[in-house]
This record gives sequence, structure tokens and C-alpha cells, in this order.
Amino acid sequence: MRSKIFFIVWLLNVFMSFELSAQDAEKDTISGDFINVTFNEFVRRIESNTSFKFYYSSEVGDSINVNISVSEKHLNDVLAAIFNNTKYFFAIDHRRNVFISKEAPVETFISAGIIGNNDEGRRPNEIIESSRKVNGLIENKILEIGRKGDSQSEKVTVNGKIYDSQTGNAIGGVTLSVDGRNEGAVSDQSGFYSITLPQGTYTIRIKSLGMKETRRNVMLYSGGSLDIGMEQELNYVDEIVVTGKENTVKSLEMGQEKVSIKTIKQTPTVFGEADVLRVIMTLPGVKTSGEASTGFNVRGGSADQNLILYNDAIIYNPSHLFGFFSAFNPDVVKNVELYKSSIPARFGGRLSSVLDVATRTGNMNKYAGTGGLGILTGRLTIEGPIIKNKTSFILGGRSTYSNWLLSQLRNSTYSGSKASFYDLNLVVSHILSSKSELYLTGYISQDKFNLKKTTLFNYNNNSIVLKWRYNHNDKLSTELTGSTSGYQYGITNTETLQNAYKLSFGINQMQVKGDIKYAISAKHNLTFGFSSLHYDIQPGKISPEGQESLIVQDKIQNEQALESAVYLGDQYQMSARLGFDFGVRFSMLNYLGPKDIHVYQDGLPKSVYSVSDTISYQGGKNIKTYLGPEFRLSGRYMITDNVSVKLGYNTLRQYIHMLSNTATISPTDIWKLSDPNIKPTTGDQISLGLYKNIRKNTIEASVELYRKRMKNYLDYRAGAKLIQNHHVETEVINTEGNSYGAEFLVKKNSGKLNGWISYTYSRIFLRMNDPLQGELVNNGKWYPANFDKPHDFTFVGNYKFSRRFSTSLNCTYSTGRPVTLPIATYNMAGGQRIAYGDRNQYRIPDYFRIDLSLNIEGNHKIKKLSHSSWTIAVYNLTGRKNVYSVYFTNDNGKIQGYKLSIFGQPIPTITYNFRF
Amino acid sequence: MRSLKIINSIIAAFILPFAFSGCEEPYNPPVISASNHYLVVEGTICSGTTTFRLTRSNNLSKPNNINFVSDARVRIESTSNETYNLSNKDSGYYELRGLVLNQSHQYRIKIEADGKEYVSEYVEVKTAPAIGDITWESQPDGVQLFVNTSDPSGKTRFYRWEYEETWQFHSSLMSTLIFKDSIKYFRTPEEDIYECFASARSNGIYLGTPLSPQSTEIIHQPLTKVTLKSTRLQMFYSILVKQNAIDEKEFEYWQNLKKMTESVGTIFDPQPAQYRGNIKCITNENELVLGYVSASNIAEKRIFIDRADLPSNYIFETEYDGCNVFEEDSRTIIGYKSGTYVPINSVTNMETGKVTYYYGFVTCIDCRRNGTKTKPDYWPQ
Repeated sequence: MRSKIFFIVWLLNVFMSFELSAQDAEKDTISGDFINVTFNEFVRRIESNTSFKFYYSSEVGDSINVNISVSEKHLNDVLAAIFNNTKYFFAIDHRRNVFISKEAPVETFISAGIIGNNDEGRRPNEIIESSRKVNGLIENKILEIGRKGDSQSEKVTVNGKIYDSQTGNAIGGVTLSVDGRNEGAVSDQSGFYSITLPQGTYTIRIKSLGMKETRRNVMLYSGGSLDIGMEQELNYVDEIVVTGKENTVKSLEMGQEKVSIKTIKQTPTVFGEADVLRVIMTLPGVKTSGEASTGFNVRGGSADQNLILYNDAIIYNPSHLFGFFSAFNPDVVKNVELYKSSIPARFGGRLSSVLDVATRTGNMNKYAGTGGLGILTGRLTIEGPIIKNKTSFILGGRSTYSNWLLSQLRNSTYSGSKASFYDLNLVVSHILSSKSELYLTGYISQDKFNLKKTTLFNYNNNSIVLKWRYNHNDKLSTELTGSTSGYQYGITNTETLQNAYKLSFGINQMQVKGDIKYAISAKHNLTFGFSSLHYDIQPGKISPEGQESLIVQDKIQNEQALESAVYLGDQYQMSARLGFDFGVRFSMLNYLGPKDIHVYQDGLPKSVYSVSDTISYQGGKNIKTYLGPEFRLSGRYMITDNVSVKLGYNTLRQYIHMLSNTATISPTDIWKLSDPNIKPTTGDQISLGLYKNIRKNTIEASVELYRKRMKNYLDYRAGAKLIQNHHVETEVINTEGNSYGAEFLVKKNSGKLNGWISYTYSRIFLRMNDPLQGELVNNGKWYPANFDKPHDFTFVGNYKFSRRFSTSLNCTYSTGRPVTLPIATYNMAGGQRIAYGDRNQYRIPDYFRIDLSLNIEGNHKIKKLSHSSWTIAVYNLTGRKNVYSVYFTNDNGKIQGYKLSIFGQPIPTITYNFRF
Repeated sequence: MRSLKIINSIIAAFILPFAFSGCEEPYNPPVISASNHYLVVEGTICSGTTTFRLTRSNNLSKPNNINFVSDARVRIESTSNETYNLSNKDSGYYELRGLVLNQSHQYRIKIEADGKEYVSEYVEVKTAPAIGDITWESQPDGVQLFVNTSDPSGKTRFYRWEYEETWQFHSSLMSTLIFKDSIKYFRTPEEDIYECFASARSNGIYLGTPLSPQSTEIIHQPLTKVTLKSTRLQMFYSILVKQNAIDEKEFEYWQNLKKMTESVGTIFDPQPAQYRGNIKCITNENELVLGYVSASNIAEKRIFIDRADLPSNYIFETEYDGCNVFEEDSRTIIGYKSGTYVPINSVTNMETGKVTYYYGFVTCIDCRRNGTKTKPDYWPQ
């Protein structure tokens, strides 16, 4: 009953913008229920309701969990409660700025100055440079800090934040030195510094690479704070803020990987361009399907079992140029999250993982741009305000400008080949009110590939997303998202005039979803919502190309379906140590007319010869419904503050399947919906993880074990023909899948040397032992799926020599993937035949590669208009000829096998990046 | 100034030497380079004459060798414990005559070869309905054959056709002379080597099924196409079509084998994979055995095609193309003896009385090189 009332209240709130708990902006007290929210969220709420302004490091924002209910309490007391027993300290100045800092030195000052004393008369002493523009005069002033006689000890501590006076961004790594003394300090990543000196008068010099040196003359009486603004020297500073690192030990989720764009940009790639997906593939449990492929396999799932979201729109082919590049522009992406074991209930529809790619929003204050030139591609991103502090945009584009890649193919059969692609991103964000925001994302990516002048492949992804976010009050926030996305490809082949054809495939979808977060109490944090997704798939159309073509036009009937789901999740913090994440999702697929459905005779394998009837359904008619619950459960127990163990169990359902001639996402794949003849794939996964943070959370170590089962996973019959097939259900078989593995990860997040080492042991086996489905695969025994790669080792490391020079090394090894090989030739029925070995019984050679890159930031000249950096990289340093694919040719009956390696030698690349 | 810098940067990006090449290397993992001699079993257990052919598969690099298995023991076993031994007819072929299959029993084949034992699954006896009709159609590049059949009982859904072709042909040059004991004689009709008969077995997989589940008929199902690139249609042609009734499993087996052979390297190609037959090696369970054995009472039908009924503008490309006539000189005597050359005829100059002999290569003259003189019993002329 109670929850019902809450719900009605919530509806009122949302739709009538009812103000429930307005707070007087100038009051020092706050009220509200901050139940199980991150510190970021807490700050956002306080800042939106009061005039307090918070300064803190992103580390605090994510790792501190706020769980309090207060009414008219002084912010001092609230913060004291939050930071009690943590290593953080806070300070509030008279301008209502709140500083959160870390570790000991500030302690005396804070406890003496603030926490221990609420006396209005004894304000803390601080100097904040409120002017955004550094006033040259300030360097010559003598700044008095504290009051005479305030300090009980001889030594006093000054702390504060160092920020860029233009952007307001914190600057880490700034050195503070004191003329004539040995004391000094370096600001941390969030720009905080603290320095302890005897009372007296000093000149503090503030230096940072890329920033103009500045100084402050101070007279110290007692502890206080001094924020210092610095002006940029013309030096490239990575402007993309590193997203807060998830504290893996403490979070309730397991198997979640969050990668910031900074990390992505540091990892060397072929052609020198930062590549979102390629970095994801270096994480434990994630394996690439092939060298020139951005298809990936997560924990024994096929490439189509990954839900790839780009600002909530589903992307079907996340690659350019057949996988040489990923289709996401690194300058627009903010961060990437991969969920591989406990998938939150708000996601569904795919069996293995969710890859959530989020873009940045444009700068609300000023215009800025970034770009880069590589050997193949050029990219440019501009951003800025449309209405200052209210509406902003970011527009990014990327395109090939040279045909360099294919002109390097020395093989004459490919002469005349051309390849090009582009992608465009636009994100417009608009602040409607202090509580609600609106986002519009538009995305298009297009590829064209001309092979030998006679074959033209082209494909494109496109999406439009409109999202409305409303933070109603401390307890409730809601998001409504509407999106459309599409994926099309076409192939035109004019190799012979008689057989010239044009083949096309397309998928279009529209989605509406609502996600609500509701902090019901200090212990329960609910999320719930719905989604509804309409598919319209054109499975294939072939038509003659040119006058002389004898190809007969043929179109496979469109498929329509509605995939809907409702979900409810609860993060339940049972005690400080024990927490659970419960989720349940009901999903349903309605396969809709118009469509002619083949009915097959019972007890016979589905084949064109066992069709007993064909039923025509009218448009909009519900032909078949599949529905079922999905459970997402995980629990975490903190053994100590730095060690936790997590257990998760998940069930998932998938209603759309990719049918592909290869193990990779290539342009000739077909996406097929579950229909009366093809059942949804279902799976469950149980996983166990152990996490430990060492050395003050700078090193994260984890081990995760998993076991996963799948039902009705689609594999193909021997000799399956998938393209342009009106009864494709006769070409597929339902297999059961069984995968298991162990993933080990050691990650160092900060310091001069950072990176990670991961090792994965994983297996995936399939079995088809139902004679009613036809020929048993490998006699009904378990066989490895074609992406089964037991061993996988990755090392990614970055070393920063100085602010200008850094180097990255990337090293990867994996077992070769299984293949089915022809093994013998024989004569039968008057012709030469080829005998194949068992399915996926053999393996291509193992994969090994080392890449190295050097990043050089531009010079530090003043008044340069653009800031630049160079990336020089060598891909495949050892020149190992890694096998991309093996294929066989038949030359007058003689079968010869070939292994094709695409990057069979070291490939040096150079990329020029700039920012203005 | 600023734009100049950017241009410099672009130039700098391109002047570094780059190297890129996709590379292909031969791929011969141990499993491919091994000899891979798997047993290949071809034949159908049938009433009347049963013939089995045993061969062994080859390494992929040796496609044209056919390794016959000539020292095997082959026998047919029934579920009622009858055993029939097949006799070794000629290398690789095993034959049994006069077998009458009992519809209520199941049969299988058992083979002992090279110290290993192979056995097929027991199969039911299928009886093929009579062939309705064999028709043909002359097309610019040959004659297309069709089969029509039906099983009113509806029992037979899947068909497989094999055939034996026989045709009468002639060599390029007609020899009237024969060289015996260093002397040339005129040939007697028995010594004629101009006209012969040749025969061949089916060289493809021909399958059919009624178009809809309601239908029991097969109409105008294409069979082989007899092209003009042989001597087949030169004089008189005959084809014996053998109709097998098969089950769905066997149908799929042949269908798959057919698809695999048709692959031409396009995106429409099927997934390469091994379709298992119904024979296994009991000595070594993991050994691959190729072939599918069924038991069938086969229906047969023979038709003839006369050259006279075919378009007169058909031009044949045969192995005799490029044959020439030579005038005799001294060295041919040795050629006659060795059999390389055969005398054709002699022409006497009425004025001078000089006799000129003509001769040609034996391959252009002796039709027995490509056939036999023996006229089949069923030959109408």
C-alpha cells in the first residue's frame, strides 16, 4: 500500500513538476534522504538546491557511498557523518565552497578549524581566487592566511586546489616550492595540495608543465586554504576528464569493466587511432574474433550476444572497413562500460554482455575543437555552447581521406579496390531546469568498399536518440528515452554481366524506454522501468544489375516483432559488509505479421522437404509470443575493507540472432528474429569473484570464475546456405552450449607506470545430439564453438617519462581459433569430392602480437593557437605473421590451403592530434 | 602562418616510409599433409546385381589418383542372419548376382579391408516405383535429359537417379588396310576398327522430390546434359536411368555432397562441413568412412537417341579433333610394327601406276582405344 502511494506521488511529481522539498538556497542546513547514492549524486543534489559549491576529486565522487536521511541539519554535521571513518576531510569556506581532500596533513587544520568548532565567530581562514582570470596583481599582493594567535602549533598547513583559470578544471601534478626553504608539495590528480610551513612570510612558486609559472606571497598565521588559478601555456593537456574509477572491491556489481577514454587513447592501435573496441578486447574474458575484426566474444558468447549501445541506441555493426576501425569516434566518446557477468536488470535482449558507450556533452562555456590526422583517416570535433550554460553541442566527424591502405595491397587481383568510410556524431544537450535535462544524439556511420572494381560493399549504421532526464527529488529520478536505429548493407557484384546482382539487407528499429531510480530507504535502492522495441527487418533482396543480367529478382518477406520488457532491481545494503543486487526482468517477443510461416512435419528435421503447410498471417497479427522471466542476482561480502568476494547468478533471453558465414561480424551477416520455427536462445551464468585492492587502492587484483549454459544456441547444418534463403530455419540447428572459465586481472591505475595484466582461461563447447534435428554434429559429441580460444594473455602498460613523453606497450597472446578443415579428396558418384574433418576440430596457429607507441606532446610555446600531440606507433613489433583466416583453393582438383595474415610485418604509423 | 604549420604536419605524416602487405602462405598443417587414406564405399544393395566399389581417399594435393581397394572381403548381412559374399570382380569392384531382397528384413554391408572391419547401419529395403518417362530436349549446346516419375502410394518422397550411358561412335579416320607380318591386307568387316561402343557411369548426383507435400509426382526433373564435347551424340546414344527410392537422411547426405562440390567461392557458398554417411569402422571408432549404403529395388528405364533426330548443325568437339592423314615413307614401316601408326588406304595413279599409301596415328583410327567392338545385346540396329 505504502509503495502505491509513493508511486502516485511520484507520478504527480514527474508530470506536474511538483516541488516537494525545495530548500532555501542560502541556508546552511539541508534536508533530504540520500539513500545509497554516490557522493557525486549527493553533491549534485545539494548543489542544485543550495548555493554550496563542492570541490573534490573524482575518486571521492565514486567511492564514497552516502546513506543518510537528514532534516534541517547543518552541512558540517552532514559531511562529518559522511566522512566519518574515511580518509577524507572536508572544509567549508565563507563563500560556501566545500573542499574535500584526502589523507592526513590537513587533519589538524580541519579538526581545529572546522569540524570541532561550529562557532560562527571563528570562521576558517581561506583565500579563494574568485576571479577566473588570473589577475597579474595577485602575484604581487601579500596574502594573509589565518589570524594571529589562532594556531596552537608552530607549524601551519595551507591547503587548496590548483585549477585552470580558463576552464576551472583541476590540475594535478603541479609543484609548489617555497623560496629559501626545502618544503614543497605536488598537487594530486584532483588538483589538491597541502603544504605545511612554520608561521611566517613566504613566496610560493607554482610550476607545472604546460602552465604558466606563477607565485604567491603569503603571510601564514594559522591553517587555511589557498586556491590557485593557473594560466595555460600552449601545451597539450588531455582535456578529457578521466571518469571516476569504479571501486571494484566495494561495488555490488561484478564482471563490470569501465574504461575511460584516456586509457583508450593511451593504448597503441594499428593506424594510430584510438580505438574503443580494441581496448575492450584486451580485458579479461573478452576475445577478438579475428585480427581485422571488431567482433568480440565475451565469456563464450558469440559476437551477436553482445548488446552494443551507443548513447542507448543499439548498434549492429560496430566497425568500419570490415573491422579495421571501430565505428566510434574517440573524440566524442566519454567512457565505455562493459558488463559481462552481472548484467543490470535494465539491460536485456542479449546473452553475453552489454557494452555501453557513452558520449561526452559539449562544453557549455566556450567553443573548442579537437582533431587528428592519421595515415588513413582524419577527424575533427567541435563543441561549444548554443545558449551559454544552458545548451551545448558537440559535433564530431571522421573520414578516410586516402586510399592508402588498399593501394598497398600488392596483390594484383585487388587492384582497383577502393575503400572509404565516414561517421558523424552530434550530441545536443539542453538544461531545461535545475532538475531536468534533455539530450539529443544523432549518429551515422557509412562504409563503402570496392573490391576489384566489380564488387561494391556498403553498409551503414544510423541512430537518433532523444533522452529526457528528470531528477525529481533526492529519492527519485527518471529517464525517458526514445530512439530509432538502423543497419543496412548492400552488395553489388558485376563480375560477370549475366550474373550481375545487387543484394541488400536492412534492419530498422524503434525503441521507447523508461528508467526510474527510487531510493526507497537507507538500505534499498530500487530501479525499475520498461522498454519496448519494434523491429522491422528486411532479410534480403536480390535484384539484377544491368540489362544483361539473368538474375531473377527475389525478395524475402520482411519480419516484424515487438520486444518488450519490464524490470525491477533492488540494491540492498544489508550491512556495511554484505550487500545484494537483486533484479528481475520479464521479457516478451511478439512476432508479428504480415508473414508466411512454414509449418514442418513433426518428428522430421526441418527441411524444404518436410514443409507440411504454409500459413499466411495478416499485417499486425501476433503470430507467436515468447515470454519469460530473467533473474539477475549478485551478492557481495567485504571480508576486509580491501578484500571482497562476490557471487552472481544471471539468466538471460535473446530473441534476435545473427546468422553469419564466418565467426566475425562481416557485412554479409543476417539478423534473424525468433519466429515460430526458431526459438529464443536462453542462458544462465553463475560466477564467483574475489577482489582485492592493494597499496591504497592503486592496485586492483581480481579473480573471477564462471560457468555458463545456453539453450537453443544457433549453429548451422553442414552445407547451410544463409544468404537469400526463404526458409533459413532449415539451415540452422539448435545446440546447447556449455562454457566455463577463469579470469585473472591485476591493474595499476595510477602512477608513472600504469596498466594491466590479464589472463583468461575459457572454453565454450556446443552439442547437437537430437536426431530429430537432422545430422548430428560430430556424432552428437561436445565440440568447441568456432570462437573457443582457451588461453588468452594481455598486457597493457603505459609509462610516463615526463609530461611530454609517454610510451605504451601492448602485448597479447591467444590460442588459435578452431576451424573445420578439408582433409582428403575422393571420388564418388562420378566426381571429385572433398572430405572435411570434424567440425571445429583443428585450430589455426596461435596469435601473438606486441605493439609499441610513443606519445609526444607539442612544444610549450606561449600564444600558440592550437595544441598538438604526436603519436608514433608500431603495430606488430615482432612482425609475426598472425593468421587471420585459412582458406582453400581448388586448382583443377588440387586443393591447396593458404593462411592469410593481414598485418604480417611491423606497421609503423603516425598520427597528429590537435586541439584548439 | 598557422595553416602552414598544419600543412607541414600533414606532409610529415606521409613522408615516413610505410610498409603494408597482406600475405598468403601455403597452409599445410599435419592433418592436411598426412596421407588420409579413408575408405570410400560406393554402391547400393539391390535385387538383381549388386555392385560395390571400394576406393580410398587421397591427400588433398593428389586429387586424380583413384586408389582401388582390391583385396577386401565384402558381404551383405541381413537381420535374419543371412550372409551373402560379394566376389572380387575386378580391382576395386565387388559384385553379387541374383540376390532377392526380402522387404521384411533389413540389410547392411560388412567390409574387411587392411585388417580393419567396417559396417554400415542396417537399412530397410526401399522399392522404387517405375520410372514414368525419360524425355530429352535438344539445346544449342547439347541434349538435356529429364525424368518424370510418380508414386501414387505416396511412399516414396525422395529419389536419387544414377545412369549408365552407352553410345556408338566412330574414330576419325577409317582404315581399310591392315598391316600383318610386314604386309598390308584389306580389312575384313570383323577387322573394322572404325565403329565402336563406349559406356560411362553417371558423373553427378541427381536428386528429386515432389515439389509440394501434397504432390506425389516428379515432373521434368533435369538429369544429365549430354554435351557436344564428346562422341556421345555422334551416331546413336542410349541411357539407362536407374531410379532409387531413398529416405530423407540419405537424401540429405547426397544433397550435402552435391552442395559442397558446387562451391565456387562466393558469399552464397555453403558452410563447409562433413556430412557423415552410415558406415563406420568398428576397429577404430574415430576413423572417418565415406559413403552411404542403402538397400533398394531399383527401377530402370532405357531410351535411345538417334543422331538423325538431332539438329544437323551440331558440331562435336571430340578427342579426334586434329587428326591428320600422312603419306607413307620408309620410316612408317617401323611405326606400323610398333602400332603407333595404322595404314589407312592406298591410291593408285592410273597414269603412272604409282601406288601412294596413306596412314595416320593409331589414336585417330582405332576406335577400340576409346571403346569396344562388342555391340550390347539391347542395341537395336
